[in-house]
Amino acid sequence: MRIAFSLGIVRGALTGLAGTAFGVGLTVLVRFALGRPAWSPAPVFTIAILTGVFAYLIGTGVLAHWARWATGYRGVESKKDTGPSWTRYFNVSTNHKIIGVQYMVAALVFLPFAVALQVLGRLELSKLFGQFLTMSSYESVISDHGIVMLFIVVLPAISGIMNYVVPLMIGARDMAFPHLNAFSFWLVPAGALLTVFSLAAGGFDTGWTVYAPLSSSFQKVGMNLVLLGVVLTGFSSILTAVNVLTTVFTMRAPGMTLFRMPVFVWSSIATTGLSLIFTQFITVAFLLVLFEKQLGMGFFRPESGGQPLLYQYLFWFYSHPAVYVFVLPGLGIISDLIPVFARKPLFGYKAVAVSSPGIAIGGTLVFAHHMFAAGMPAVLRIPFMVTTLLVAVPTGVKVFAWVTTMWLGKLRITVPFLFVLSSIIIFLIGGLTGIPLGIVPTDLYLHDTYFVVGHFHATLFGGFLMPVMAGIYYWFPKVTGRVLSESLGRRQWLAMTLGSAGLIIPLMGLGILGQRRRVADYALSAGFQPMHVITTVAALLVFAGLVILVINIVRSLKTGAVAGNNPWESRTLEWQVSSPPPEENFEEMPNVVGEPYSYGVPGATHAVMSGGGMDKEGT
Amino acid sequence: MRPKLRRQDWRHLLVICPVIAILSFALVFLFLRVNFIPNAGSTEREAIDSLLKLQFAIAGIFLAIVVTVFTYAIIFFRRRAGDKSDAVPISGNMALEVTWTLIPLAVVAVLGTYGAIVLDRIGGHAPAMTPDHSELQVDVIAFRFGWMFEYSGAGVRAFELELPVDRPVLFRIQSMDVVHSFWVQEFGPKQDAVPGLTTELRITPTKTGDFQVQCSQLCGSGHTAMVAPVHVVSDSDFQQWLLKQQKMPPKTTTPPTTTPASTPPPTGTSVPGGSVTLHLTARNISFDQNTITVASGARVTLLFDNQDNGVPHNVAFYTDSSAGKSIFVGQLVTGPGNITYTFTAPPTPGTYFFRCDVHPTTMTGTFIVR
Repeated sequence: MRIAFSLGIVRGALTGLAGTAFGVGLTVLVRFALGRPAWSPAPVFTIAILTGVFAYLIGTGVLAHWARWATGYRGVESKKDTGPSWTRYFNVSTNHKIIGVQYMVAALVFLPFAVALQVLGRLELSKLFGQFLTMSSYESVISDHGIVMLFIVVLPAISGIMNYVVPLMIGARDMAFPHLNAFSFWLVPAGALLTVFSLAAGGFDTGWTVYAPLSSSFQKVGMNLVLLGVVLTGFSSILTAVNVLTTVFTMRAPGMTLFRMPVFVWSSIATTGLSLIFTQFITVAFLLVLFEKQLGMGFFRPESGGQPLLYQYLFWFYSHPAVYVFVLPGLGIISDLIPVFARKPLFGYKAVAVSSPGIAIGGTLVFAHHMFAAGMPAVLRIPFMVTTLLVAVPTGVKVFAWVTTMWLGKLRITVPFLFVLSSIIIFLIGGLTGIPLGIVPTDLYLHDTYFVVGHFHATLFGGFLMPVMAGIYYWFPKVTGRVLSESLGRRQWLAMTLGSAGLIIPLMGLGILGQRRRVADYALSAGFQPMHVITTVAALLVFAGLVILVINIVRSLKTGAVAGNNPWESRTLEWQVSSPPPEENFEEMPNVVGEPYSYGVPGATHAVMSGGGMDKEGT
Repeated sequence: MRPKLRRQDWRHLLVICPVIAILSFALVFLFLRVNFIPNAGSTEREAIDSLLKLQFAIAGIFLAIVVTVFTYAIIFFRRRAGDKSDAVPISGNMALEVTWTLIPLAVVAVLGTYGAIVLDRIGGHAPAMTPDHSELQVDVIAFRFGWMFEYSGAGVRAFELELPVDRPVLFRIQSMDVVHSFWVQEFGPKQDAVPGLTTELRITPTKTGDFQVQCSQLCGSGHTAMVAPVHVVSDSDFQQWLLKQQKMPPKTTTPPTTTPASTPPPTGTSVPGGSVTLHLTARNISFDQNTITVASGARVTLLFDNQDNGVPHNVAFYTDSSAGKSIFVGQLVTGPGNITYTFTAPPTPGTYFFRCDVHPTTMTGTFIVR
């Protein structure tokens, strides 16, 4: 019991509940005093969420450091590291490795949930078990699938991997702003609960795009929960971006020039650069929807002077770069792992490294290609088509470099590498099917059909999910000191590879045949049912793969083979320290003297541990 | 030090080059020759289809190259058991890297140019062309969850889209509430309906037949049911249809709005003998009953309750399911709201048809006169 109360997460949950109750009471009282109907769920819960989240943050203790600093309190900083070591993961910690694991665990808790939501939707569409969802609940389920996936799984997962790996890869002791780092993480559980509980609060039938005025006019409280939840995780994403960028630019080990950094670090710069600049647009768009819905301000409703397309411009101004935020870290993992398992230098390392910022910069100029059919000025169609097509070039550079690196290699077919191999082909399919969507006439046909859904899932399976699985199998030994089971890993790989193929290709087929996306039902005579049955089985396979992963992690934590410092014989810095790494990463100062991927080059070294303390840190 | 490639390292190319050639040819043939996109019904769709096939063919070549190299590498470049050494350290090749940057650049330049030409041909590039007086103008009004079509030249308003074949049509698209999207799969391009804006779409139907307008932008719980029938007919049939519509009583006097209709609640006035009072409820885009039975010649009082928030419905009785000849067409009411319809049942017993004109494919029933 005492241990339970010592955990930040438990204290946060309790104070969060109390804060929510306080907010409910306060709002009801104020409304009563103003002579309005005292009980009205949407305004009451909106205020209660704000007070609840604030109370939760206080309860977790993540604000304590700043409170002490502001008040000049000079007592004990914190009673860190009392209790068993596992409690650190449920408490506020400023260590980047703890925070990285916290993010990953959060993502892995909500990933099966979000997949399960879509399995529900797939089962409904397969028509195998009758119609068990109403049209409204179908739309809510798939909308929440999208929101939870992107904002509660993808963003935290990439924050988690960057947190754990980037400081180790560049030879830093921690992130630049450890307290800010902890704060970024503790925003996520609050956002996660809000987006999950929105289903219980009436849901929202807007899709993950939350287009106004649909979102501001016809929705229940569930919409408010999602809007606030995404604002919280968006804020977390911005703060993480500040942290990662500062860390990479100021805390690299001596000799770690930009062109000696692993490609994952390059893609982290590109990703966080995009998050830093563009996440504000979606938080603004969602806040404006909330204001319009709750306060009647006219932003998007024409009858109150608003402009519906304004929402779409704001939304896609973030959400297109966001796609690159989602996939660039995954592409970085692919680029990073192929040399390790092919035992060859990364082919054209500099071009691959620079292609990440290249994709990021190109990706900022293409957002209006989501709006070819939306009613924006028609003269903008061709310029945005051209910029969209140009992004194909740096993306192609990556894919060609990957397969050329494998050429004449000595491939070690391990589980992480299997996931990398699947990623390459799935991402390639996602990239190639982006061409018809980028070219206006074909997009006008394919837009808002299942083809888009198939394309998007191909890019995210190939650019996020499968590479992250590769990353989990690759870095798990570093994080825990134990290797994940190879046989379970191969089964998971098989289930998820078959699952992604069985999902993506029929979805694209449905789109070409002309099925609209986001429909809860279709006529049997349309001939869509067989493909929906295939995607249902495929979705179940993906879910089964995730179950295998969870089993593997739980089992291997206790009984996995002891990893040693460098089980994959990798050259990057994180593998040159013990597994798990020391509290401050490097007992001896690394001195970087060469490139990270010089496999097979006689006498080449990436870094030498120079001895001497870490206090000489900096470049 | 540049690593030395041995002569046998080049032999692999002798295998993969033919494989790439054969696979590319197969995919290009497949995508260009097999008609995998169904039911083209307009000049715009035909242009889009041939463009899509070309894009797939070119994508097929890239797919063939990468998949062949990839698969070959996995099969032939595995580590031999017990080999702990690293591979030959080739770290790059400037000529190759420049090639695989420039070739995709050239390919997307060609694809983009061709796409722009097709876009111009289907009239999707510049909106205000010179007014074409031969084209038929149809005003499309989208609302949660249905479609209304106005032929302003002929003074006709309908809930189904009737079009003459081979004549250019200009759709002027508006929305009454949220963003919708006007799409007929057989016609090809789609165009969003944006509240506060009028958007345009030009289509020339080339095939007669029955199609469907589908809303393709999620607009809420009834999105799935937001469809309307499309009939592409010969020009003479179209003119006849227009004449018939002009003679029919207007289906609605008030355009649907998102504010609840203020209809007086049904009153308990006594009805003369041979009369019947019935209840019908519309909820979740469906009627709560699929048969209505009355005596022949009876005076029918129908209390219609529309519980779909923001959605207009009506009840309309026709002689048969083609809805060609009406018995009684009720006024639209936007939910939540109710309305009382009174009309006289046909004198001849028989099986007739009723439906909601806004949702003619999803909300239908049998009207039995005894």
